[in-house]
Amino acid sequence: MEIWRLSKDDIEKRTRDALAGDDDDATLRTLEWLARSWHFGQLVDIWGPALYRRNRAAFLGAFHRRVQPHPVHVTRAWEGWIDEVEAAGDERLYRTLYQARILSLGPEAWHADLARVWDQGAANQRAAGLAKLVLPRMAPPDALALRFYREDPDAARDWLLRAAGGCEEPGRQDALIEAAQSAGDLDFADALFALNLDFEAWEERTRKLARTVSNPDELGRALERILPVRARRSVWVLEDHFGGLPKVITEIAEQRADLAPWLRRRHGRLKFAGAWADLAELAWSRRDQPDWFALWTALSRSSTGHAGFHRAVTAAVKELDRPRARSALFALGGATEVWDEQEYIWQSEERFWQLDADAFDAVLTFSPQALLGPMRPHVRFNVIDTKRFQRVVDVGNEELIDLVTARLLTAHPGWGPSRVNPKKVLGYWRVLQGDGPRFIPRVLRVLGFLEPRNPFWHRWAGKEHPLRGFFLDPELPWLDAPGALRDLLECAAPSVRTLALRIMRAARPDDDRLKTEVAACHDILAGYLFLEQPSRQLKDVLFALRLTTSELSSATALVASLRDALVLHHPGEGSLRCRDLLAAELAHLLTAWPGLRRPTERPVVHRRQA
Amino acid sequence: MITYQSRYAAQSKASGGALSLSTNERRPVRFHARIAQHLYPMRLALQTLGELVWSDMGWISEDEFEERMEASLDPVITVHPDRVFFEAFSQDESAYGVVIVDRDVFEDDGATQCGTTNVDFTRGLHQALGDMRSSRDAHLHVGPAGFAVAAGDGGAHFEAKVELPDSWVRGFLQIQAAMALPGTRFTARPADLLRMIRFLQRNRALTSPRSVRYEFEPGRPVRAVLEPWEHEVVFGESSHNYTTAKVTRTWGRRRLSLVEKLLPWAQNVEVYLKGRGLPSFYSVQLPGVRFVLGLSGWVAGHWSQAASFDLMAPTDTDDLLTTRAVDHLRTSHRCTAQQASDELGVTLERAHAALADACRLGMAIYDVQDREFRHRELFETPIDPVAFYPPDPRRELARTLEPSAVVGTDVRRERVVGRGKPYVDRVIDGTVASHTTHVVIKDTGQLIFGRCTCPFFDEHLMTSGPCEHMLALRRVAERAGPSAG
Repeated sequence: MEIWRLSKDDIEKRTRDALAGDDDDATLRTLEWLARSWHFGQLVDIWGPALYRRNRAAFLGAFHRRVQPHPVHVTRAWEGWIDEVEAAGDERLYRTLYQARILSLGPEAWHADLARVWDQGAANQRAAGLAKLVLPRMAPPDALALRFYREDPDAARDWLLRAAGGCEEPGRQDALIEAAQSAGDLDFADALFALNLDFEAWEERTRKLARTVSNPDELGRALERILPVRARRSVWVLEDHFGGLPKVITEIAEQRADLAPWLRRRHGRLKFAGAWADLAELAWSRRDQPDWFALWTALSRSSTGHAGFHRAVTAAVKELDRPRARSALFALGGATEVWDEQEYIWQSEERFWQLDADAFDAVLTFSPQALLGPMRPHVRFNVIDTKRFQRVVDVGNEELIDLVTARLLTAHPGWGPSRVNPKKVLGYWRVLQGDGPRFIPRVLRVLGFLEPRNPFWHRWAGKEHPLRGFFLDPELPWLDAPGALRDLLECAAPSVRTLALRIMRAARPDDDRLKTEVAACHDILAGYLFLEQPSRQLKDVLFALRLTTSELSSATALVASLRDALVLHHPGEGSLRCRDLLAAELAHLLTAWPGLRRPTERPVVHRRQA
Repeated sequence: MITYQSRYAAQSKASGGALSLSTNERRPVRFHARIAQHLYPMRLALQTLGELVWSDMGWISEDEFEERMEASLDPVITVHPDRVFFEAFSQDESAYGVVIVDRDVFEDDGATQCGTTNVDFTRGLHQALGDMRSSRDAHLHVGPAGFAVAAGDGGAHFEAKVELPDSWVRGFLQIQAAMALPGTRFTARPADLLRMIRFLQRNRALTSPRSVRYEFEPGRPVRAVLEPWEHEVVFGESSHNYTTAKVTRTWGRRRLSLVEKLLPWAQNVEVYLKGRGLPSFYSVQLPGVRFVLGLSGWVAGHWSQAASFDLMAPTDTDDLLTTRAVDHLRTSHRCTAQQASDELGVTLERAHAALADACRLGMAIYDVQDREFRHRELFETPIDPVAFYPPDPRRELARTLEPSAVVGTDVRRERVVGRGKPYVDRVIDGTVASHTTHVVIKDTGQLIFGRCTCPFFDEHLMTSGPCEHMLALRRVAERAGPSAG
């Protein structure tokens, strides 16, 4: 029975039945299963106190997170329970339950509890007492906060920061900040200030620091202390409350050129898609200084969007001297974090900005090697049209031609009109095909450039596409090039590996070249037995391995590998079909070499009944 | 924060069959060689190391987010006469990896300068590793000068300054302490570990517990039970020496998937378990290459947070002895504790303590498989141990508790493991501040087991090191000598 089919009443009934049972283990397993239901958390008054009293360790380990602190759940059953939790010292749980109680009673009850804990507790107990009363999204009243701080700052400090940090609108807390500054407690004052959502106050203070603090390291530290904490954590806060932050930082950077090292280190903390274009422009204007140059590359790669990246690449190759342009391309190349507009999150996966047409042309003119080096992940098929392909051919760098061809292979025919005439591309390769020994190594390199992570390409690899049909053809003279099969097997791209196996399948078994090639790939093929793959691919692997198994030593090794590979296909795991294939191959070998059998591996011969 | 500054002659790159790793000019190391064999396993291992560097499987709070390092330390390469090894630590401070390549794999091309440095290891380089093929000539160039000549221009120098949180550095160093801890070791088939990893990938635990429970029963192979499904994976052909049933649990099992790509081509896997919730190490042996994956007790249980494995280390050392031990390693590159003891003219226990101290300071590394120490200086300038290892509150508390420590019995006990020589452990029982305490100390001076009736032990067992009562009892017993009690 799927848990989601059960209604709230069903869950309630089953919960009560489970709790009534004597077997602790069975009760626990049942409750763990019921806990998967959304309704379970709403029934905490039924299972919470009972389970906590019966098995505190299990409750804290597995069920604490199911407690939903909603005032509706607060019933009389909680009254003694909260006190027990407090007495046992389970602080996290206590805070969860306390929050629910306060939500049902109102903030005045919380204020009263705060005052009571403060007044009745000894000096060394106040901090611990207050720590239990931190509630998310509830700001402490200003008067109480100020009173606590004045009477015992050491006890109040941590609690005030946690309480202010947890609520969405902490308020300006000017009085408290002023009190802290008067007392010389500057770290605390700055920490509180950083939690505010007041952009004007932050701007005023930031500009003042920039005017008054001359040492750049000190200035950086001072700015760091008041950098808005919430803006760092949430793009919503950044956009809603501190939209002008990049502009202020840029204006300060204009006045303080010595701030570049700090900006370089810290810009990543403020992820604001496309908002640092002005700062990038400023950094570009000061590119002769190493720190600004480094800042410019960092911003262009991560914080100025597509357009900024393309401009940066183009500017680097057109306006910088050669050594610096190389450095810039290396610094600009590589993965970055991008703002995913659909998911509303920053993606920290490997993402590469694609070069646009102008940037591609500029880099090609500058140095074809750069497209093979740091800019390689940024070259995509979208930018290649027939003219551009011809330009690449005219440049004459074979490795680059192969890279571009590999990118064209990943173009899906159904994604809009193809920008490149496949006949032009094929024309080049057919000429090469007639050239003899240079052809297969070039094709191997093309296939080697295919990236394994592109799921669409591999899904459509078998579909009609003139380029793919040409390169993934098992009938090409692969066996003429020694080591070609191994090259294909060592590729990470699944389609290329499949091609290698198809080649072995399609060749004549008595072809000596095939036997030599397959023998050289034996170690790689043995590893293929353990890959997750469709059964038809495993069949090809087994076929290839059988070609190399002509002697006892190779048979012994293969038998050991097959036995190990079978482990991956236990019932309920792996693939039934793959298990059958492996078992059949093992049986075949043990029949041919009976000495390799284990005592338990005896053929069963079914005789006709007498 | 520690600021780690490097100066590279140029960026690392892989092209035309040459893997050129640009090294920190401040720490010259030179190694130019052709990869004569086993290129494919080596490529897989280096790619795995790269993935480990950028792996981040931790769930972090908002507060921890503020402290998250924006850059990770580049992998460290060490060239020794008999091997080359690359080390790296993950961003989430929960996984450590080392790729050890035998020198037989290479054909030297020019003079070699041994030493340790860090290399510029970018994502682009990681991608380009995929270009390397056994059929093509492949070279490994490590060093600044040679690379600058090959690149043809001298204007590509760049500086990299990384601010490393103290916790990250301390974590990296604590690994050495953890690797040298005694524990359980067994050999497993790669297929069995792969089966475990694939099961975890296909099934998601919606409830706790979520540990891997290694079960050792006398006369039976080792068994890994995956919770909460209670799914068993028997490590066929594995053996152990336990004469009574034992269970060891580890958490953060998702990180094992880091070695998944290596296992199809692995010859065997050696598993080292240091104890419940303590670090574990998986040594994957490939042809010519070994990849050692070290995992903290659980993902969120970072090495550095109150793990304090060094509290279990032998205590009998001083700065001078540690310096002598490092000097010896510098010339010999590697040694066992016994060899160090013979060379330095001190007891085995003191030699082990000095070498373990060298590991804590980043000047040596412990090879968990060969059981020997190797010279490896992680930093250009030695770290300040006082800054990185502030006084542990438990050590301070232990000092105050010493007057109340009473040693009951202190005996030597032989422990036979397999067919090897017997170990002689020191077993001490006593009371400290009304808590009944029991400690077992190995012949090398390491505290390998303990029990206490205090709340700290009740909550943590030994996952965070010994409690102050165990430390106090140990100190009192060591001062009194073995005949006490």
